[in-house]
Amino acid sequence: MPNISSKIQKMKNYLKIIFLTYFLLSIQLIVSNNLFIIVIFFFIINFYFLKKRKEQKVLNKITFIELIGWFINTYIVLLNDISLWFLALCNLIWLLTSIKIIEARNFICVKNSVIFLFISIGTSSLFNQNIYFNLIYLLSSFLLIYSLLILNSFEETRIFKQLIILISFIPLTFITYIYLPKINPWLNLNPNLISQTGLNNKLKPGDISSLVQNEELVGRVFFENEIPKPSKRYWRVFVLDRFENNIWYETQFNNKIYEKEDLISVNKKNPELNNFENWILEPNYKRNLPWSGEGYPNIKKLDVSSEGILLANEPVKKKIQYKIIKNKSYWRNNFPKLTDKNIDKGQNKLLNEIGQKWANESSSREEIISKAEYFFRNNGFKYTISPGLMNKKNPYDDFLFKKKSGFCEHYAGSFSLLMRAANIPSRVVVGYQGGQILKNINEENYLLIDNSYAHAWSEIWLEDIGWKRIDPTEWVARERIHNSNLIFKKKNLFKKISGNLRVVFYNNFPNFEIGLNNFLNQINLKLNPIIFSKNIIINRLVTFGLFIISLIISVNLILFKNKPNHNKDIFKLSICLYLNVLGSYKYKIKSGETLKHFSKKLALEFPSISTNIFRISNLYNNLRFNEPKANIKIFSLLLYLLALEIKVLIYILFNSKTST
Amino acid sequence: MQFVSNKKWFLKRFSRRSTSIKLGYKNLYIFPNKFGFYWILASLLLFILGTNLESNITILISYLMGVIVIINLFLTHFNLHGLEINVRPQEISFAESPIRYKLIFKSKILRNNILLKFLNDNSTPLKIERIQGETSQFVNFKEKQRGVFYPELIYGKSSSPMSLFNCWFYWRPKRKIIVAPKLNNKTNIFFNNSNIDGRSKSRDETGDDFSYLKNYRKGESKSSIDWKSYARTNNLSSKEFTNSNSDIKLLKLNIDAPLEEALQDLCYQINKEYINRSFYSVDLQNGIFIGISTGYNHYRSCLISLAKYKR
Repeated sequence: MPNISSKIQKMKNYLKIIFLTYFLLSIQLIVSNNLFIIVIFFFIINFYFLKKRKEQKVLNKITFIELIGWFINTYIVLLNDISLWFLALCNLIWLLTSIKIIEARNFICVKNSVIFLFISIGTSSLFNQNIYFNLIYLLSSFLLIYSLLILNSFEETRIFKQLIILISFIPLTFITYIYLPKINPWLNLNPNLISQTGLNNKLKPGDISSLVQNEELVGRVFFENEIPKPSKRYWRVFVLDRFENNIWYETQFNNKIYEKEDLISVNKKNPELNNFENWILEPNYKRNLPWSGEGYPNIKKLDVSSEGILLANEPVKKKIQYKIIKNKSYWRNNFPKLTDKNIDKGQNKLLNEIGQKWANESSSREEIISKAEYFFRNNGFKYTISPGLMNKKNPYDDFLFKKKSGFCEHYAGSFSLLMRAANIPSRVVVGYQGGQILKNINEENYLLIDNSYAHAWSEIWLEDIGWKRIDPTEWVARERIHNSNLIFKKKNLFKKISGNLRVVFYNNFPNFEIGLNNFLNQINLKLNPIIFSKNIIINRLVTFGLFIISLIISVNLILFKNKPNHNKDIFKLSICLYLNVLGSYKYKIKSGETLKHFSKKLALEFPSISTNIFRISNLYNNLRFNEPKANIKIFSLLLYLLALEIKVLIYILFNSKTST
Repeated sequence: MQFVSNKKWFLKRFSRRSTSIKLGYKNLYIFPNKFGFYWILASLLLFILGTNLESNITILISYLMGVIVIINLFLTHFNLHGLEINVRPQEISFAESPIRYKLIFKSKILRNNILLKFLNDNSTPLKIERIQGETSQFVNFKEKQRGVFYPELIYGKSSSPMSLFNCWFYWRPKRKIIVAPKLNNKTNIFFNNSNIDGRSKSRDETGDDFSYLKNYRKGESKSSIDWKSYARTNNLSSKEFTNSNSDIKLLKLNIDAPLEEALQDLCYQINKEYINRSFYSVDLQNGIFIGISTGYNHYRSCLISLAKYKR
């Protein structure tokens, strides 16, 4: 019967590791907000089912109910946003993994749970490229490999050997990763499908008020000098200049105006302006990056468009870091385009009339602006996150003259339209306003910006100044702009915990600012260009050779421990090296002479280290000719032997040099 | 590999019998098993997702899985590569009782988790968790009727260390299985405990009488050590026995009885006399006569004659 009990013990150990991995996966999935509500519920319930063994019938019922639940939840989610189909599929995989774990608990298809866990880890890593999650993924992967070694009762008692196996996979994986030619994406999977939340390049009333309820992290900004005052914290992302069917759109931006070299030369002339903001941006899957609009970026891949938009070469899919070197914002002097004056006279008639009226009554543009300010300040406007739905045909008329309560997009949109009606070119800028001041581990202040700081404001063209920022929200809700006071921000407990946890991580582990994903990219970029020859074929062959050599080393490293007396071989090798080095200093061992006798002779020559010399001899004889003991003990004794040898050799080397 | 087990072309390939086999590149086969296939598919899926959605970690995990496949290919192969299996003349089995086929394994290195069984046989396979040096193991074989048979093809498999690959071999051993007529239950139980050289582990049960104590010598059975005297004197002494049933006996096959029953009776008698260390001869009545002798070789030749006997 001991055989059966050892099998049960083996299975128990295997399941323990599987449960641990599942637990880690569940925690990171829940924290990262990628699970559907019903799937979170099932995850928690499935933990309860792991307590006791269940019959197959019960398992079938659980599976059926959970799949139905997933289907209903997915249907509702996809009705609202079809682009989440990929997330829905991944949720299905994670749910199936959870069910597989219960199956494994009931000793059904035990090994398959490992495959499902691997797929779950891989798919969840698509969503979370944060270093902490990355480390959990890697840890979980190694736990899974370890679980397989345990399940196959491979060297159960020799943890050292199991560790060697686990470690031996690492170098080959990295060589493969770095030197294997990269393949470009070939499936047209739109990366935007991945749980994106954020600003958009079009705006209709109600867009931002729904976005601010999401507290997804946008990025963090560090400043060389002091953090700007709340009323100066405007981070522009999109400039919307085209107004059609009551929606603000962004026109195509291709014309960048300033070459960076010009900007740098300007900057060199004014060293006192050498002051910067340092952004660490979370992936937003868009080309547009937030910035203050003042200065120029320090990365070649980033450009500034004629509208003052900071643009990356390609959508940002990984966390990136960029600096904005403060400088004069040259884009402000770019003349307005036709779209900046465009107005649809068929809609929002009242708005157009009042705009024209102000234009007729005023002698200057400043006067029109002050009339607008007066209008917003004195007509009982309210700043609210839930203004209700506006009239579809004339939403801005409805807002300005009937409801008089709205969010930033209502104020910015209607103000820009009023200005256009008064013949002042204007546009809406969408971005973030404000930010929470936090301190990192180095006691540096920084601004944490999440989606709740999303904001819209206006820019108008004044001939002597250029594009000037005017935020009509400020006239209505001064607290929002001057104190970054988000009255609507009511955090629930879960969001509070996860948000605080995130901030704690960011603040306490500054070395991992840029996730492992980017770290791997950097390694790739640095090591990939290392070429062994100009000939591509030779280069590939050398790479292949490198792969084969590491494979041979890995396999031999694992198999070496299987050889009989492998420990004794290592001792022999170490003592041979020791004697060879001594031989090169004229202390040669004669053929047939014992180590003990040789040590005596050597001790007479160097009496001050005689104890160490005898220790080496005794230790070697004990280790090589006695019965092998526990592996870990032997390993530590080997290290001790090596240390002694090195100590003696260094002494003799130094002593023989001084004597010569 | 059961799907090819009955095919003639497959069996022809392994028609040569041998007394030993050294596993190497020529006789080892390796292929991913079901779990290995799932593993490779999962790795491919993650690679496709990682590449198309440009996630380095996903690609890294898929590469890790790929590297594990490649390293396991070698580890699983080298777990069997170089293993030597020998077969020597087999212990005599009895009809309608499980047959145990003895194999001797020689391995210079440590090997893990090897499974052996006879092809087309439902008996519990032999599972060896660790092999190093020289060890003998028994492979179970389903019950057979009286006779002398060549064993079926042996199928050996290993999927250590992570059961991603199956590495297997086939071997047709040369030594025959000798199945003597059935024994009655009482004797059967006793014989399952006996050693191949015929020495009983528990001499006291054979009915021999204790005679005297002598100094223990290396090589003597440990069961003969008198532990009580060792406890008293701290010197190892072994017990010496005398045989009280040393009469010579002639065992004859009963022609009047049905053949199998007569053979079973005779087999029981031979077995009994062997245990009693008697001198005995066997007359099988059709001109086959086995002369007077005692000991294991005599016992063995008697049982072989019974196994081969045809009227």
